[in-house]
Amino acid sequence: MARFGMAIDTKLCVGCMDCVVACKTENNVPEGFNRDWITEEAFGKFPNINLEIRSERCNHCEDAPCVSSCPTGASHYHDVGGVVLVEHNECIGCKACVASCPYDARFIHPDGYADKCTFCIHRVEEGKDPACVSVCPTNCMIFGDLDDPNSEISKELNSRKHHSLKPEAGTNPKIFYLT
Amino acid sequence: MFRFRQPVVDEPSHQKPNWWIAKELGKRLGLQKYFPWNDVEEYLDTRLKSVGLSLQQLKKEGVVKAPKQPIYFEEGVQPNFWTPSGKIEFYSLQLKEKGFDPVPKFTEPESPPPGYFRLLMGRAPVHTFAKTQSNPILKDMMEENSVWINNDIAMRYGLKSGDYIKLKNTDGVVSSKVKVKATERIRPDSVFMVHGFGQRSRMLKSTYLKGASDAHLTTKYKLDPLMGGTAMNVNFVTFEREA
Repeated sequence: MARFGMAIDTKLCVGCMDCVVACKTENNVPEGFNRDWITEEAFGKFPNINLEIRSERCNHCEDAPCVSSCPTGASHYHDVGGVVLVEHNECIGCKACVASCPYDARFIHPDGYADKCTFCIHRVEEGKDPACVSVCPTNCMIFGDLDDPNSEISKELNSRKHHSLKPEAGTNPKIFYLT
Repeated sequence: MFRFRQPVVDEPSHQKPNWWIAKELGKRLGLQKYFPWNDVEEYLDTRLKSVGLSLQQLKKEGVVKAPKQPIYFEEGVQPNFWTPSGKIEFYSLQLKEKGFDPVPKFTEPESPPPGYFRLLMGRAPVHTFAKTQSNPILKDMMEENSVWINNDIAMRYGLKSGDYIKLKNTDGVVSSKVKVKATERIRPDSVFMVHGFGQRSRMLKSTYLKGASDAHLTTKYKLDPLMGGTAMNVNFVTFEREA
């Protein structure tokens, strides 16, 4: 069983937002909403500062509060890779998942259902990378199977320092930032 | 490699191409001798003929690959620095003859007057110059620019990220309102803005007065007396609170 995750190299990311454009066009994300976005965080005091640029999105948590808070079962773990998805037809737009997500990764689509990153599962099931990964000009994003010790993502995570976002939320996020 | 982009549709309202505008301006400035070609196609054809191609060929083929020539030292290119010695010259007799310091030295830029900050301008990866601000997808990501102000300075002036202010330069030019971004990512004596915003044409419905324009505040420029380079980050601005 695959367990899909993403590793993003903050030393390579320049914050160009190509991933954001790719997601919007691939997934027809309506104007005013985003499934992925760029965060720039500066640490320290001028002139001794460090900058971390991150491409952020749904963390496809293993213990996802959006899934456990969903009253209809619309939010669920997909059979392939444990990707967190929303079944649009079962979603009643109650926003419980939006409120429960520690990463603010969800929004209510104008058509009335909760929407967010799908890891481009429609592409992944065809053997392609997610749209954001496929367009990155610095190749800073690695998508793959965390359970396969020989996958590129596993090798990177085993050899590089990395962190996830808000680990204290206890949701076991599957997006990792290489530092 | 030569590539050629051809118009797909005619201009909707008799807009003029860049090259035509440059030529007509040149004519009126008495510089017509630099524009001996009737139109841009003749100009391009002249340049292409110099490398054994033609515009006709490029129009037909779209992309023409020229034979690969070495361009790097590693590929065996012999360096030529176009100097009398043929080498990199740290001490230049040519400069000395023209009355300049033969070893050019760093000149410290002037400090801003009290209460003013050097206005720096630059680009964001999202937008290209001032021409993509109305693209719906790019606009969604970056709808307006902000003015970067060092955290300590922002605190001293009682400004916080998200506040709107106007900028006024030393010639009294006032910008449209622009959002403050208080950050450690800029030195305390300077402020920074991304270029291309604060557009003033009402016809540009989606970008009209979104953010502020560094260009409008660039009323002064400096010329490097040595090589003629134009410096534009030489204007100073102060903050005006948005009522």
